[in-house]
Amino acid sequence: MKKLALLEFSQIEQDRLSAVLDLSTMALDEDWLIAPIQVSELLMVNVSALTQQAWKAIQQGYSGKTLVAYGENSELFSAHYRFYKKMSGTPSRQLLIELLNQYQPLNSQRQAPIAKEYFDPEQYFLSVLQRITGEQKNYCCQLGNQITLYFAPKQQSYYCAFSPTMLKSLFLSHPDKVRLQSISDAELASAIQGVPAKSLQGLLWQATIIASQGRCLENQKSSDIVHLEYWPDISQHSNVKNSLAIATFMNHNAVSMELIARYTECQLSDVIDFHNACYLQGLIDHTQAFYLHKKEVSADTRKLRKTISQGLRLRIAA
Amino acid sequence: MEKFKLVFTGSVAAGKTTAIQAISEVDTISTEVRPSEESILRQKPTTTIAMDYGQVTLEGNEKLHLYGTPGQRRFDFMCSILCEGALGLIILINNSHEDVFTELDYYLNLNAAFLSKNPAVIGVTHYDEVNTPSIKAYQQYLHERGDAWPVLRADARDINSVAVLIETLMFAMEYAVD
Repeated sequence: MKKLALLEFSQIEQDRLSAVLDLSTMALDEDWLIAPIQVSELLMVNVSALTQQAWKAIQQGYSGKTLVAYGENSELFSAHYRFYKKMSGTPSRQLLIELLNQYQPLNSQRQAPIAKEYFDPEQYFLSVLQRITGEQKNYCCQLGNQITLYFAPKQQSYYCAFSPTMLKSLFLSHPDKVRLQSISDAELASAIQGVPAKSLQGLLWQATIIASQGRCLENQKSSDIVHLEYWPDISQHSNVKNSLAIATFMNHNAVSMELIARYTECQLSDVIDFHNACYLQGLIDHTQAFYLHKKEVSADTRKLRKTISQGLRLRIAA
Repeated sequence: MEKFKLVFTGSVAAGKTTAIQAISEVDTISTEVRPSEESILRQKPTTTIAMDYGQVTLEGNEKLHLYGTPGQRRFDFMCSILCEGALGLIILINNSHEDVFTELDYYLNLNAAFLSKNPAVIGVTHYDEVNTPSIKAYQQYLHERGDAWPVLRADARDINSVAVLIETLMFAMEYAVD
Protein backbone atom coordinates (compact mmCIF):
# COMPACT_ATOMS: atom_id res chain seq x y z
CA MET A 1 0.00 0.00 0.00
CA LYS A 2 1.55 3.34 -1.03
CA LYS A 3 0.80 6.57 0.80
CA LEU A 4 0.20 10.06 -0.48
CA ALA A 5 0.16 13.15 1.75
CA LEU A 6 -1.44 16.51 0.88
CA LEU A 7 -0.10 19.93 1.84
CA GLU A 8 -1.75 23.36 1.42
CA PHE A 9 -5.07 21.75 0.44
CA SER A 10 -8.37 23.10 1.77
CA GLN A 11 -10.82 20.56 3.16
CA ILE A 12 -12.93 20.72 -0.04
CA GLU A 13 -9.85 20.17 -2.19
CA GLN A 14 -8.79 17.22 -0.03
CA ASP A 15 -12.24 15.67 -0.34
CA ARG A 16 -12.21 16.12 -4.13
CA LEU A 17 -8.80 14.50 -4.52
CA SER A 18 -9.79 11.67 -2.21
CA ALA A 19 -12.93 11.04 -4.28
CA VAL A 20 -10.97 11.00 -7.54
CA LEU A 21 -8.41 8.65 -5.97
CA ASP A 22 -11.23 6.26 -5.00
CA LEU A 23 -12.54 6.33 -8.56
CA SER A 24 -9.06 5.57 -9.90
CA THR A 25 -8.43 2.41 -7.87
CA MET A 26 -9.13 -0.09 -10.65
CA ALA A 27 -6.73 1.65 -13.05
CA LEU A 28 -3.81 2.01 -10.62
CA ASP A 29 -0.91 -0.45 -10.67
CA GLU A 30 -0.71 -0.29 -6.85
CA ASP A 31 -3.07 0.73 -4.02
CA TRP A 32 -2.72 4.29 -2.81
CA LEU A 33 -4.01 5.85 0.41
CA ILE A 34 -4.08 9.46 1.63
CA ALA A 35 -2.06 9.52 4.85
CA PRO A 36 -0.09 11.89 7.14
CA ILE A 37 3.13 13.37 5.81
CA GLN A 38 5.35 11.46 8.25
CA VAL A 39 4.42 8.06 6.80
CA SER A 40 3.95 9.03 3.14
CA GLU A 41 6.43 8.59 0.32
CA LEU A 42 4.74 11.09 -1.99
CA LEU A 43 3.87 14.63 -0.93
CA MET A 44 1.48 16.57 -3.15
CA VAL A 45 1.62 20.33 -2.57
CA ASN A 46 -1.08 22.69 -3.78
CA VAL A 47 1.06 25.45 -5.34
CA SER A 48 -1.84 27.55 -6.67
CA ALA A 49 -1.33 30.33 -4.13
CA LEU A 50 2.24 29.52 -3.18
CA THR A 51 5.21 31.83 -3.62
CA GLN A 52 8.53 30.50 -4.88
CA GLN A 53 10.01 31.34 -1.47
CA ALA A 54 7.43 29.22 0.31
CA TRP A 55 8.02 26.43 -2.18
CA LYS A 56 11.78 26.50 -1.50
CA ALA A 57 11.07 26.25 2.22
CA ILE A 58 8.89 23.18 1.61
CA GLN A 59 11.59 21.59 -0.57
CA GLN A 60 14.13 22.12 2.21
CA GLY A 61 11.80 20.98 4.99
CA TYR A 62 10.76 17.79 3.18
CA SER A 63 13.98 17.01 1.31
CA GLY A 64 13.52 13.26 1.74
CA LYS A 65 10.08 13.25 0.14
CA THR A 66 9.11 13.02 -3.50
CA LEU A 67 7.29 16.25 -4.21
CA VAL A 68 4.40 16.79 -6.60
CA ALA A 69 3.48 20.36 -7.55
CA TYR A 70 -0.30 20.54 -8.00
CA GLY A 71 -1.98 23.62 -9.47
CA GLU A 72 -2.97 25.59 -12.60
CA ASN A 73 0.55 27.04 -12.46
CA SER A 74 2.41 23.85 -11.58
CA GLU A 75 4.78 24.29 -14.52
CA LEU A 76 6.39 27.22 -12.71
CA PHE A 77 7.55 25.04 -9.82
CA SER A 78 10.55 22.75 -9.92
CA ALA A 79 9.33 19.40 -8.57
CA HIS A 80 9.84 15.70 -9.06
CA TYR A 81 6.41 15.55 -10.67
CA ARG A 82 3.81 18.06 -11.74
CA PHE A 83 0.08 17.54 -11.62
CA TYR A 84 -1.82 20.12 -13.62
CA LYS A 85 -5.03 21.35 -11.99
CA LYS A 86 -7.95 22.23 -14.23
CA MET A 87 -9.77 25.52 -13.81
CA SER A 88 -12.89 23.60 -12.69
CA GLY A 89 -11.04 22.59 -9.53
CA THR A 90 -11.74 18.87 -9.86
CA PRO A 91 -8.52 16.91 -10.26
CA SER A 92 -8.24 14.99 -13.51
CA ARG A 93 -8.67 11.27 -12.92
CA GLN A 94 -6.61 10.45 -16.01
CA LEU A 95 -3.70 12.64 -14.94
CA LEU A 96 -3.80 11.28 -11.37
CA ILE A 97 -3.63 7.71 -12.68
CA GLU A 98 -0.70 8.55 -14.94
CA LEU A 99 1.12 10.32 -12.10
CA LEU A 100 0.72 7.52 -9.55
CA ASN A 101 1.49 4.78 -12.08
CA GLN A 102 4.73 6.39 -13.16
CA TYR A 103 5.86 7.22 -9.62
CA GLN A 104 9.12 5.65 -8.59
CA PRO A 105 10.83 6.09 -5.16
CA LEU A 106 13.76 8.50 -5.06
CA ASN A 107 16.19 5.78 -4.07
CA SER A 108 15.21 3.26 -6.75
CA GLN A 109 17.85 2.47 -9.38
CA ARG A 110 15.65 3.37 -12.32
CA GLN A 111 14.33 6.75 -11.36
CA ALA A 112 11.52 8.66 -12.97
CA PRO A 113 12.88 11.86 -14.52
CA ILE A 114 13.71 14.31 -11.74
CA ALA A 115 12.27 17.66 -12.69
CA LYS A 116 15.41 19.68 -13.39
CA GLU A 117 15.42 23.44 -13.50
CA TYR A 118 16.05 23.15 -17.22
CA PHE A 119 14.54 20.90 -19.87
CA ASP A 120 16.86 18.03 -20.76
CA PRO A 121 15.44 16.00 -23.71
CA GLU A 122 17.82 13.11 -22.86
CA GLN A 123 15.76 12.45 -19.72
CA TYR A 124 12.57 11.74 -21.68
CA PHE A 125 11.09 9.46 -24.32
CA LEU A 126 11.70 12.33 -26.73
CA SER A 127 15.36 11.30 -27.03
CA VAL A 128 14.23 7.86 -28.24
CA LEU A 129 11.94 9.48 -30.81
CA GLN A 130 14.71 11.77 -32.05
CA ARG A 131 16.95 8.76 -32.62
CA ILE A 132 14.23 6.75 -34.40
CA THR A 133 13.32 9.65 -36.71
CA GLY A 134 16.76 9.60 -38.32
CA GLU A 135 16.84 5.83 -38.89
CA GLN A 136 15.89 3.67 -41.85
CA LYS A 137 14.70 0.65 -39.80
CA ASN A 138 11.19 0.03 -38.46
CA TYR A 139 10.70 -0.23 -34.70
CA CYS A 140 8.27 -1.56 -32.13
CA CYS A 141 8.27 0.46 -28.91
CA GLN A 142 6.59 -0.55 -25.64
CA LEU A 143 6.02 1.11 -22.29
CA GLY A 144 4.94 -1.49 -19.74
CA ASN A 145 2.13 -3.68 -20.99
CA GLN A 146 -0.21 -0.89 -21.89
CA ILE A 147 1.31 1.19 -24.65
CA THR A 148 2.72 -0.11 -27.94
CA LEU A 149 3.77 1.99 -30.90
CA TYR A 150 5.16 1.02 -34.29
CA PHE A 151 7.49 3.30 -36.20
CA ALA A 152 8.18 3.51 -39.95
CA PRO A 153 10.76 6.34 -40.10
CA LYS A 154 11.24 6.05 -43.88
CA GLN A 155 7.60 7.05 -44.34
CA GLN A 156 7.83 9.51 -41.41
CA SER A 157 4.90 7.66 -39.86
CA TYR A 158 3.97 5.88 -36.67
CA TYR A 159 1.07 3.60 -35.75
CA CYS A 160 -0.70 3.49 -32.41
CA ALA A 161 -4.22 2.95 -31.14
CA PHE A 162 -3.85 5.89 -28.73
CA SER A 163 -4.05 9.54 -29.76
CA PRO A 164 -1.00 11.71 -28.92
CA THR A 165 -2.89 13.36 -26.06
CA MET A 166 -3.36 9.96 -24.43
CA LEU A 167 0.38 9.21 -24.58
CA LYS A 168 1.35 11.68 -21.87
CA SER A 169 2.77 9.03 -19.52
CA LEU A 170 4.96 7.79 -22.36
CA PHE A 171 6.23 11.29 -23.11
CA LEU A 172 7.17 11.79 -19.46
CA SER A 173 8.95 8.44 -19.18
CA HIS A 174 12.68 8.04 -18.91
CA PRO A 175 14.16 6.36 -22.00
CA ASP A 176 15.30 3.42 -19.86
CA LYS A 177 11.66 2.48 -19.20
CA VAL A 178 10.94 2.02 -22.88
CA ARG A 179 11.58 -1.27 -24.73
CA LEU A 180 12.64 -0.75 -28.33
CA GLN A 181 13.03 -3.49 -30.92
CA SER A 182 13.72 -3.25 -34.63
CA ILE A 183 11.25 -5.16 -36.82
CA SER A 184 11.09 -6.12 -40.48
CA ASP A 185 8.73 -4.62 -43.08
CA ALA A 186 6.66 -7.83 -42.98
CA GLU A 187 6.37 -7.75 -39.16
CA LEU A 188 5.36 -4.08 -39.31
CA ALA A 189 2.72 -4.72 -41.99
CA SER A 190 1.25 -7.56 -39.95
CA ALA A 191 1.15 -5.55 -36.72
CA ILE A 192 -0.45 -2.39 -38.10
CA GLN A 193 -3.35 -3.86 -40.06
CA GLY A 194 -6.28 -1.48 -39.93
CA VAL A 195 -4.36 1.13 -37.91
CA PRO A 196 -4.04 4.45 -39.74
CA ALA A 197 -0.60 6.03 -40.17
CA LYS A 198 0.05 9.17 -38.15
CA SER A 199 2.67 11.84 -38.52
CA LEU A 200 5.97 11.14 -36.78
CA GLN A 201 6.72 14.88 -36.80
CA GLY A 202 3.43 15.49 -35.03
CA LEU A 203 4.38 12.96 -32.35
CA LEU A 204 7.81 14.56 -31.94
CA TRP A 205 6.15 17.93 -31.47
CA GLN A 206 3.69 16.69 -28.85
CA ALA A 207 6.40 14.73 -27.00
CA THR A 208 8.52 17.88 -26.73
CA ILE A 209 5.64 20.10 -25.59
CA ILE A 210 4.65 17.65 -22.83
CA ALA A 211 8.18 16.91 -21.58
CA SER A 212 9.29 20.55 -21.74
CA GLN A 213 6.88 21.65 -18.92
CA GLY A 214 7.59 25.34 -19.31
CA ARG A 215 11.35 25.00 -18.75
CA CYS A 216 14.07 26.45 -20.93
CA LEU A 217 16.68 24.20 -22.47
CA GLU A 218 20.08 24.11 -20.78
CA ASN A 219 22.04 27.36 -21.09
CA GLN A 220 19.01 29.18 -22.49
CA LYS A 221 16.87 31.78 -20.75
CA SER A 222 13.42 33.18 -21.35
CA SER A 223 15.11 36.58 -21.85
CA ASP A 224 17.16 35.32 -24.84
CA ILE A 225 16.34 36.92 -28.21
CA VAL A 226 14.70 34.34 -30.48
CA HIS A 227 13.41 34.40 -34.04
CA LEU A 228 11.39 31.73 -35.81
CA GLU A 229 13.12 31.21 -39.12
CA TYR A 230 10.77 28.53 -40.47
CA TRP A 231 7.20 27.71 -39.46
CA PRO A 232 6.49 24.34 -37.88
CA ASP A 233 3.66 22.25 -39.33
CA ILE A 234 0.83 23.73 -37.30
CA SER A 235 -1.71 21.22 -38.64
CA GLN A 236 -0.19 18.62 -36.28
CA HIS A 237 -0.58 20.73 -33.13
CA SER A 238 -3.19 20.20 -30.44
CA ASN A 239 -3.39 23.88 -29.41
CA VAL A 240 -3.54 25.46 -32.85
CA LYS A 241 -4.66 28.92 -31.73
CA ASN A 242 -1.70 29.36 -29.39
CA SER A 243 0.67 27.99 -32.01
CA LEU A 244 -0.66 30.40 -34.64
CA ALA A 245 -0.24 33.43 -32.40
CA ILE A 246 3.22 32.51 -31.18
CA ALA A 247 4.51 31.36 -34.58
CA THR A 248 3.28 34.47 -36.41
CA PHE A 249 4.78 36.78 -33.82
CA MET A 250 8.10 34.92 -33.60
CA ASN A 251 8.39 34.80 -37.39
CA HIS A 252 8.07 38.56 -37.76
CA ASN A 253 10.11 39.67 -34.76
CA ALA A 254 13.34 38.87 -32.91
CA VAL A 255 12.50 39.39 -29.25
CA SER A 256 12.62 37.53 -25.94
CA MET A 257 10.17 34.78 -25.03
CA GLU A 258 8.93 37.00 -22.21
CA LEU A 259 8.03 39.73 -24.70
CA ILE A 260 6.40 37.19 -27.01
CA ALA A 261 4.18 36.05 -24.13
CA ARG A 262 3.20 39.65 -23.39
CA TYR A 263 2.34 40.58 -26.98
CA THR A 264 0.52 37.36 -27.84
CA GLU A 265 -1.29 37.13 -24.47
CA CYS A 266 -0.11 33.51 -24.18
CA GLN A 267 1.35 31.94 -21.03
CA LEU A 268 5.15 32.23 -20.85
CA SER A 269 5.31 28.47 -20.23
CA ASP A 270 3.46 27.86 -23.54
CA VAL A 271 5.87 30.16 -25.37
CA ILE A 272 8.85 28.34 -23.85
CA ASP A 273 7.41 24.93 -24.78
CA PHE A 274 6.70 26.14 -28.34
CA HIS A 275 10.21 27.57 -28.62
CA ASN A 276 11.78 24.33 -27.38
CA ALA A 277 9.80 22.23 -29.87
CA CYS A 278 10.84 24.54 -32.73
CA TYR A 279 14.43 24.73 -31.53
CA LEU A 280 14.82 20.97 -31.47
CA GLN A 281 13.53 20.86 -35.07
CA GLY A 282 16.10 23.42 -36.16
CA LEU A 283 13.54 26.18 -36.82
CA ILE A 284 14.86 28.83 -34.43
CA ASP A 285 17.56 31.44 -34.90
CA HIS A 286 19.25 32.71 -31.72
CA THR A 287 21.72 34.98 -33.47
CA GLN A 288 19.52 37.87 -34.55
CA ALA A 289 19.64 41.29 -32.94
CA PHE A 290 16.54 42.59 -31.21
CA TYR A 291 13.87 43.58 -33.71
CA LEU A 292 10.27 44.50 -32.93
CA HIS A 293 8.17 45.02 -36.05
CA LYS A 294 5.37 46.94 -34.36
CA LYS A 295 5.87 48.67 -31.04
CA GLU A 296 2.17 48.45 -30.31
CA VAL A 297 -0.42 46.03 -31.58
CA SER A 298 -3.39 48.01 -32.79
CA ALA A 299 -6.36 47.41 -30.51
CA ASP A 300 -8.72 47.62 -33.51
CA THR A 301 -6.73 45.01 -35.44
CA ARG A 302 -6.68 42.70 -32.43
CA LYS A 303 -10.41 43.15 -31.95
CA LEU A 304 -11.01 42.39 -35.62
CA ARG A 305 -8.89 39.25 -35.43
CA LYS A 306 -10.81 38.06 -32.36
CA THR A 307 -14.14 38.86 -34.00
CA ILE A 308 -13.27 36.82 -37.07
CA SER A 309 -11.87 33.96 -34.95
CA GLN A 310 -15.08 33.88 -32.93
CA GLY A 311 -17.16 33.86 -36.13
CA LEU A 312 -15.15 30.93 -37.49
CA ARG A 313 -15.57 28.96 -34.26
CA LEU A 314 -19.33 29.45 -34.35
CA ARG A 315 -19.38 28.42 -38.00
CA ILE A 316 -17.46 25.22 -37.24
CA ALA A 317 -19.72 24.43 -34.31
CA ALA A 318 -22.89 24.94 -36.38
CA MET B 1 -17.32 48.63 -49.81
CA GLU B 2 -17.37 45.40 -47.87
CA LYS B 3 -15.52 45.86 -44.61
CA PHE B 4 -14.34 42.30 -44.00
CA LYS B 5 -13.18 40.54 -47.11
CA LEU B 6 -10.66 37.81 -47.85
CA VAL B 7 -9.52 36.50 -51.21
CA PHE B 8 -8.53 32.95 -52.12
CA THR B 9 -6.26 32.65 -55.13
CA GLY B 10 -4.05 30.02 -56.73
CA SER B 11 -3.86 27.85 -59.80
CA VAL B 12 -6.57 25.65 -61.29
CA ALA B 13 -7.44 22.65 -59.11
CA ALA B 14 -5.69 24.12 -56.06
CA GLY B 15 -8.96 24.02 -54.11
CA LYS B 16 -10.16 27.64 -54.02
CA THR B 17 -13.81 26.87 -54.81
CA THR B 18 -13.76 23.83 -52.51
CA ALA B 19 -12.28 25.81 -49.62
CA ILE B 20 -14.91 28.54 -49.86
CA GLN B 21 -17.66 25.94 -50.13
CA ALA B 22 -16.29 24.20 -47.01
CA ILE B 23 -16.37 27.29 -44.80
CA SER B 24 -19.25 29.31 -46.20
CA GLU B 25 -22.48 29.25 -44.24
CA VAL B 26 -24.48 29.92 -47.38
CA ASP B 27 -24.45 28.07 -50.65
CA THR B 28 -21.54 29.52 -52.48
CA ILE B 29 -22.06 31.40 -55.69
CA SER B 30 -19.79 29.79 -58.21
CA THR B 31 -19.22 30.69 -61.83
CA GLU B 32 -18.04 27.31 -63.03
CA VAL B 33 -18.04 26.20 -66.64
CA ARG B 34 -16.34 23.54 -68.70
CA PRO B 35 -12.77 24.71 -69.29
CA SER B 36 -11.83 25.94 -72.72
CA GLU B 37 -8.19 24.86 -72.27
CA GLU B 38 -7.45 21.17 -72.82
CA SER B 39 -4.73 21.14 -70.17
CA ILE B 40 -7.23 22.24 -67.56
CA LEU B 41 -9.96 19.87 -68.74
CA ARG B 42 -7.55 17.03 -67.98
CA GLN B 43 -7.36 18.19 -64.33
CA LYS B 44 -11.04 18.84 -63.63
CA PRO B 45 -14.33 18.97 -65.53
CA THR B 46 -15.28 22.53 -64.51
CA THR B 47 -13.37 25.67 -63.65
CA THR B 48 -14.21 29.12 -62.25
CA ILE B 49 -14.40 31.87 -64.83
CA ALA B 50 -15.32 34.95 -62.82
CA MET B 51 -15.22 34.36 -59.11
CA ASP B 52 -16.56 32.33 -56.18
CA TYR B 53 -18.36 33.91 -53.28
CA GLY B 54 -19.16 32.71 -49.80
CA GLN B 55 -19.65 34.26 -46.37
CA VAL B 56 -19.41 33.75 -42.63
CA THR B 57 -21.50 35.75 -40.14
CA LEU B 58 -19.59 37.62 -37.46
CA GLU B 59 -20.63 39.33 -34.24
CA GLY B 60 -23.11 42.16 -34.70
CA ASN B 61 -24.41 40.50 -37.87
CA GLU B 62 -21.37 41.65 -39.83
CA LYS B 63 -20.25 39.37 -42.64
CA LEU B 64 -16.85 38.03 -43.56
CA HIS B 65 -16.96 37.96 -47.35
CA LEU B 66 -14.91 35.27 -49.07
CA TYR B 67 -13.94 35.58 -52.70
CA GLY B 68 -12.20 33.08 -54.95
CA THR B 69 -10.36 34.13 -58.10
CA PRO B 70 -10.50 32.13 -61.33
CA GLY B 71 -7.67 29.70 -61.91
CA GLN B 72 -7.14 30.19 -65.63
CA ARG B 73 -4.38 32.68 -66.34
CA ARG B 74 -6.45 34.68 -68.82
CA PHE B 75 -8.68 35.77 -65.94
CA ASP B 76 -5.79 36.99 -63.75
CA PHE B 77 -7.01 40.57 -64.11
CA MET B 78 -9.78 39.57 -61.66
CA CYS B 79 -7.19 39.31 -58.88
CA SER B 80 -6.55 43.00 -58.46
CA ILE B 81 -10.27 43.77 -58.74
CA LEU B 82 -11.21 41.24 -56.06
CA CYS B 83 -8.31 42.19 -53.76
CA GLU B 84 -9.40 45.80 -53.53
CA GLY B 85 -10.26 46.45 -49.89
CA ALA B 86 -9.42 42.89 -48.84
CA LEU B 87 -7.87 42.14 -45.46
CA GLY B 88 -5.51 39.53 -46.90
CA LEU B 89 -4.82 36.86 -49.47
CA ILE B 90 -4.82 33.08 -49.15
CA ILE B 91 -2.72 31.50 -51.89
CA LEU B 92 -3.49 27.82 -52.45
CA ILE B 93 -0.91 25.70 -54.23
CA ASN B 94 -1.69 22.19 -55.41
CA ASN B 95 1.31 20.13 -54.31
CA SER B 96 0.75 17.62 -57.14
CA HIS B 97 1.50 20.34 -59.69
CA GLU B 98 4.64 19.65 -61.69
CA ASP B 99 6.33 22.94 -60.74
CA VAL B 100 4.92 24.29 -57.50
CA PHE B 101 7.58 26.94 -56.94
CA THR B 102 6.97 28.52 -60.33
CA GLU B 103 3.28 28.62 -59.42
CA LEU B 104 4.06 30.16 -56.04
CA ASP B 105 6.33 32.76 -57.65
CA TYR B 106 3.61 33.62 -60.13
CA TYR B 107 0.94 34.37 -57.53
CA LEU B 108 3.28 36.25 -55.22
CA ASN B 109 4.51 38.40 -58.12
CA LEU B 110 0.99 38.92 -59.53
CA ASN B 111 -0.16 40.25 -56.18
CA ALA B 112 3.05 42.03 -55.18
CA ALA B 113 1.43 45.47 -54.91
CA PHE B 114 -1.34 44.15 -52.65
CA LEU B 115 1.14 42.14 -50.54
CA SER B 116 3.37 45.15 -49.96
CA LYS B 117 0.69 46.38 -47.55
CA ASN B 118 -1.37 43.29 -46.68
CA PRO B 119 -0.72 39.78 -45.38
CA ALA B 120 -0.80 36.44 -47.13
CA VAL B 121 -0.77 32.83 -46.10
CA ILE B 122 0.20 29.94 -48.36
CA GLY B 123 -1.94 26.79 -48.16
CA VAL B 124 -0.44 23.66 -49.71
CA THR B 125 -3.22 21.34 -50.86
CA HIS B 126 -3.25 17.71 -52.02
CA TYR B 127 -0.42 17.09 -49.57
CA ASP B 128 -1.93 13.73 -48.61
CA GLU B 129 -1.48 12.64 -52.25
CA VAL B 130 1.98 14.12 -52.83
CA ASN B 131 4.15 15.18 -49.90
CA THR B 132 7.13 16.49 -51.81
CA PRO B 133 8.16 19.21 -51.89
CA SER B 134 7.81 19.30 -48.11
CA ILE B 135 6.37 22.25 -46.20
CA LYS B 136 9.90 23.02 -45.06
CA ALA B 137 11.00 23.22 -48.71
CA TYR B 138 8.29 25.84 -49.33
CA GLN B 139 9.45 27.77 -46.29
CA GLN B 140 13.06 27.67 -47.45
CA TYR B 141 11.96 28.86 -50.88
CA LEU B 142 10.04 31.79 -49.42
CA HIS B 143 12.99 32.57 -47.16
CA GLU B 144 15.24 32.79 -50.23
CA ARG B 145 12.69 35.08 -51.88
CA GLY B 146 12.74 37.31 -48.82
CA ASP B 147 9.07 36.60 -48.07
CA ALA B 148 8.02 35.65 -44.56
CA TRP B 149 4.49 34.40 -45.20
CA PRO B 150 3.35 31.34 -43.26
CA VAL B 151 3.08 28.08 -45.18
CA LEU B 152 0.70 25.42 -43.92
CA ARG B 153 -0.58 22.22 -45.39
CA ALA B 154 -4.29 22.51 -45.95
CA ASP B 155 -7.23 20.33 -46.89
CA ALA B 156 -9.65 22.52 -48.85
CA ARG B 157 -12.48 20.04 -48.11
CA ASP B 158 -12.08 20.38 -44.35
CA ILE B 159 -13.76 23.33 -42.62
CA ASN B 160 -11.25 23.19 -39.74
CA SER B 161 -8.30 23.32 -42.10
CA VAL B 162 -9.74 26.30 -43.98
CA ALA B 163 -10.47 28.04 -40.67
CA VAL B 164 -6.82 27.60 -39.64
CA LEU B 165 -5.72 29.29 -42.88
CA ILE B 166 -8.00 32.24 -42.22
CA GLU B 167 -6.91 32.54 -38.57
CA THR B 168 -3.26 32.42 -39.59
CA LEU B 169 -3.93 35.28 -41.98
CA MET B 170 -5.58 37.24 -39.19
CA PHE B 171 -2.59 36.77 -36.88
CA ALA B 172 -0.28 37.87 -39.69
CA MET B 173 -2.43 40.99 -40.06
CA GLU B 174 -2.14 41.64 -36.32
CA TYR B 175 1.59 41.14 -35.91
CA ALA B 176 3.23 41.47 -39.28
CA VAL B 177 1.66 44.28 -41.22
CA ASP B 178 1.93 47.99 -40.54
